Amino acid sequence: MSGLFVSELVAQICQVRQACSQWHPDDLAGHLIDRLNEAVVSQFQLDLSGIVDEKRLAYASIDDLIYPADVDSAQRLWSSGRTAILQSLQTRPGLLNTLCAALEVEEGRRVGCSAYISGPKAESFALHTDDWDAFIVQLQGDKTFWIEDSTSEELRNVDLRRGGTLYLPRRIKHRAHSNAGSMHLSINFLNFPARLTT
Amino acid sequence: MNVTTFGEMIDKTATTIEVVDDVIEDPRVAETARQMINAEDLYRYSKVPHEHVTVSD
Repeated sequence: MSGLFVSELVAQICQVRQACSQWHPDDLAGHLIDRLNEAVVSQFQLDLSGIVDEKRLAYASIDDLIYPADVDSAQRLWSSGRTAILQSLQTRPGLLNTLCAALEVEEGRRVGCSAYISGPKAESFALHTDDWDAFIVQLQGDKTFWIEDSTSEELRNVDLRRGGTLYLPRRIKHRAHSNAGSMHLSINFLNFPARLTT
Repeated sequence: MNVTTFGEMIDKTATTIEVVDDVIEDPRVAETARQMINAEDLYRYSKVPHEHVTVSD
C-alpha cells in the first residue's frame, strides 16, 4: 500500500473548501474511491449489531429519523424503503478515523462522517438544511441532489455517479434522491472547535 | 444497480484496511484520532430535531 493516501485526500478536500462559493462538483480518483468504499463497507461487515446497539444506524424518511432497536428491526426499516444512515464512522479505528482527525487538525473544526445507503427509489429527507458543511463522495450507484440557489431560490440538480463529489455549505437547502440505489459518504465539518487546540 | 436487500447494497468482499500515511506520524493527528474514538459523539442526533427521532420496536 502506497503512502500519502490520507494526505492526498485531505489536500483535495481542503482545496475544494477553500475555493468553494456554494457548491463544487468534482471527481475523485478511482483509487481514492476504492479505499473510501472499503472503509465504509468494512464497518458494516464487522459489527452491524454493535452499530445498532450504539444507535449509530438510523433510517430516514421525509421528516423523521428512526433508530432501530435491533438488527431485525433494521432489516424491516430497510425493506420498507427508507434510506439507511451509518453515523459516526470516525469513531472506529481505521481510515475514516485517520482522515477525519487529519481534516480536524487542518481545518480547526470538529469533523465527522456518515454513510447514506439507499435502495431504488428509497425515501429520504425532504428539502432541508444542515448545520454543517458537507463534503459528499459518491461511493456506489447514483444520486441526484437538488440544491436551492441562495439568491433565486430555484432548485438546481447535480447528478453524482461513483467517484463524484459535491460540496454543500451549511444552511443550503437541499434534498437527494436515487433511482437505482446509492451509497455516499458525507464528511461533515461541524460548527464546533477541533478537539486539539495546541 | 439493481438492489433489493440491505445486504446487497454493500459489497460482500472482505477487506482489510491498511493505512500507511505520513499524517499518522503527526502527533496532533494521532491524538485527535484517539480522542475521536473515546469522545462523546456530537453529530449523532443533530441531523433532525429531537422530537423527530424515534426508536422502532
